Amino acid sequence: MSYNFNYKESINGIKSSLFDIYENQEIEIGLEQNPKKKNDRLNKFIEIKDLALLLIEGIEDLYNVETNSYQEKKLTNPEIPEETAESKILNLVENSQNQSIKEEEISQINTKEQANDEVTSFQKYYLNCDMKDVNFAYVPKKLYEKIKNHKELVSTDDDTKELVQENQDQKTLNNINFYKEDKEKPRGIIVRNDQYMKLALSKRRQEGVVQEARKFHKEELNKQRKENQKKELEKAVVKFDI
Amino acid sequence: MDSSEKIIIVDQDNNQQEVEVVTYLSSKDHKNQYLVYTKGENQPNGDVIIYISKMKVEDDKTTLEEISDDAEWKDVQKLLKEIANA
Repeated sequence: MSYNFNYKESINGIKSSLFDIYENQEIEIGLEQNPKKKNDRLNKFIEIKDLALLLIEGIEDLYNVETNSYQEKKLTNPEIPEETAESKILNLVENSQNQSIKEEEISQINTKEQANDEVTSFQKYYLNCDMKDVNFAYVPKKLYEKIKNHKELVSTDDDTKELVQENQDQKTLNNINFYKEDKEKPRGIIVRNDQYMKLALSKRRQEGVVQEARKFHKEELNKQRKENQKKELEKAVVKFDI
Repeated sequence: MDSSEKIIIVDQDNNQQEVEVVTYLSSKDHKNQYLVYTKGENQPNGDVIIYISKMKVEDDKTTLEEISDDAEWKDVQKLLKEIANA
């Protein structure tokens, strides 16, 4: 291994690439029309994601975050050697293939993943040129905050800054307000978690479907209006002739 | 996974409630669109309660109307099943 190997950079690179793959897979799964293929793909995606988390945890076990270097694992009991990171990965992979990962292990993996997220967290950033929120990138959270703050600032004056921020917040609030027309309670149903996930994954695709439907309906109404106008005009012409 | 989209539902008494958008639905004849959302009421066994309301967009204002017609509600459930059971 290279003397100048940077563990932190490498692991961040892996995480960044994985996030890209996750997002692409979400879109691809959402676009899949065949129900069986979609289901198979979703299951495969979940399986791969679990393995990726195990891999990251295994790599992180090999290195000391503080010193950015390989760390030797100390044996707590010389008679019973502690499980190495490598054997841990192999065991967990084998378990996952047999679909028998213990909940405890999953909880530990998730906890560690969350802890690492606090140290090197990424934020999804949608490109401004893309109105449909399809093209995006994961950027480090600090960079995301800088971009966000830069867009909101229009004056160096503190009072104006605050006013602009308030207006921005109000505008954002107004844009996401939905107004109830009646006093009726909404109808609700209970869905399983896997069903909920499928619905949630469908959101982007369904946004497109809804937009297309509205456009189609509007065009149909315009077409109907024009036809009605034409008929009315024909009637008027006939009357005039008489 | 995808980051959640939050919206505010304002009722006729001007009470505001923040909810999370799950997805959207469109009827087969393209005439009606529906909003599917949650209020964060997760059950201990992992099941989730979702709510469905009809959406109307007029002059940049989006309104929600509850589904009162049973036949319409059945159609909406079919639309949900197509996605949730895919």
